[in-house]
Amino acid sequence: MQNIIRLIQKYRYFIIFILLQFFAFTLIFSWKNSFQHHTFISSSNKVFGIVYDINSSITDYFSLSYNNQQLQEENSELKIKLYNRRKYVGRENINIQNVFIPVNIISSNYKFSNNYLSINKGSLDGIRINQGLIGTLGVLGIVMSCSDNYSSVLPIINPKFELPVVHEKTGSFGLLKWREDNSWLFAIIDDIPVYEKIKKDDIFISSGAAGIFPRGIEVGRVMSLKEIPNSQFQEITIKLAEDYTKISSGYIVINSKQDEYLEINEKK
Amino acid sequence: MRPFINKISLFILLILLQVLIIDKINLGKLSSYFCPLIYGLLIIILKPKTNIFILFIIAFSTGIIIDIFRDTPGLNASALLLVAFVKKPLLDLMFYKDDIDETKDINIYSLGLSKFLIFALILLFIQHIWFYIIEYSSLYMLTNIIIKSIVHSLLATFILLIIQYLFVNYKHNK
Repeated sequence: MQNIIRLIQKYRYFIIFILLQFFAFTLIFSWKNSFQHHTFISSSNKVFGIVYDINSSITDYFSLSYNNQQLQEENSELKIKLYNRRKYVGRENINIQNVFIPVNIISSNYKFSNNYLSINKGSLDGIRINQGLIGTLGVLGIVMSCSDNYSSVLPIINPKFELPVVHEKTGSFGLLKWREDNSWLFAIIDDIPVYEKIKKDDIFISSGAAGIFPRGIEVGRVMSLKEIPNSQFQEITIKLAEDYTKISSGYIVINSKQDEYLEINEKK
Repeated sequence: MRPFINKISLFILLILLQVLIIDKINLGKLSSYFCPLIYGLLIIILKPKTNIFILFIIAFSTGIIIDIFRDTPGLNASALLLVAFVKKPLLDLMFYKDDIDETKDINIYSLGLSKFLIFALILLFIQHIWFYIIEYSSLYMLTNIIIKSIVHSLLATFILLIIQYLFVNYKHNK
């Protein structure tokens, strides 16, 4: 008996080593099929999760622009699918007519009467005059001129801007305009007949005419209505979907059938 | 008291350095050749007279903490435990008893630069090769395992050298 104890005493460190190694190996080989390990010995553990949490709250900022760019690209792909969808009976067909290119809006004027935007892509990226610019929330403007790498855009908040729009519920057409006395938050829709029942907070969407924007992109919500005396039309003030003071990214819409629209309009 | 606090802060520093910086460095295709295991450096530089049982406990807990961060339970703990176990015999093998002061921490001044580097390199190589053999669970990719172990142990030794030059006081240890 004493010999055994002496043996254990002599090799006590080795025995502890073996025991701890055995414990470690038990952890290694029972890892994949044990729920307890998942909750205790893993980084989802609350105490150790905090360290990663703090770390990522600092380091996330370094990759922010890259992540933004990726999200923008993904969004443009999703938008291509969304606005090119055609529904037939019993099946859904995606027919790519509109392509969306992600761009960044590098400057935005909103205080003046003739306001313009600039974006960071130009004719080398496939951008041409008369293509539409949409933001993350709604319509922003139409490309007015482009150089190799930059383009300037005519936004809704410019008196030269005109766009046919549609009331989402009734489907009646109107013309979107902006006057110098409006602020950058509001615009006016003309040519909607008096008998159309339009309420506050109704949505106006782009009509898809003129081949600039696909149908269904939001323009704004109704703020107030006013009947024009001695005429059959009413004047509608809408609150624009996009706030021009805060825009930073958007998408250029490239419509492959825009030329056909233009030809038809010229023949008229 | 002061050396004790120094050890604790080095312990935390090494773990954070390993988990938050070295594991996150991205070198593209070469990334798998840059993840040296440096959390075990504390075990290497503790004084030889430290109770081996305490050394085991420190090694095992360090390993388990790293395992929790990396979601690989037991793997790092096992590798570092081996280092703690091999350290004492290796010291006895490499040095005569009178050569080293057993009550002081092991550093470049007490062992001499070249001997210290060889000592650290051997321990780190053992740690890495054990780590990769268990991680791969086979000897099939043996050349890969050996190349990785050599590269990583060299890198870890280099980092250890930097830490030594930064934090070890020359006067204090001479």
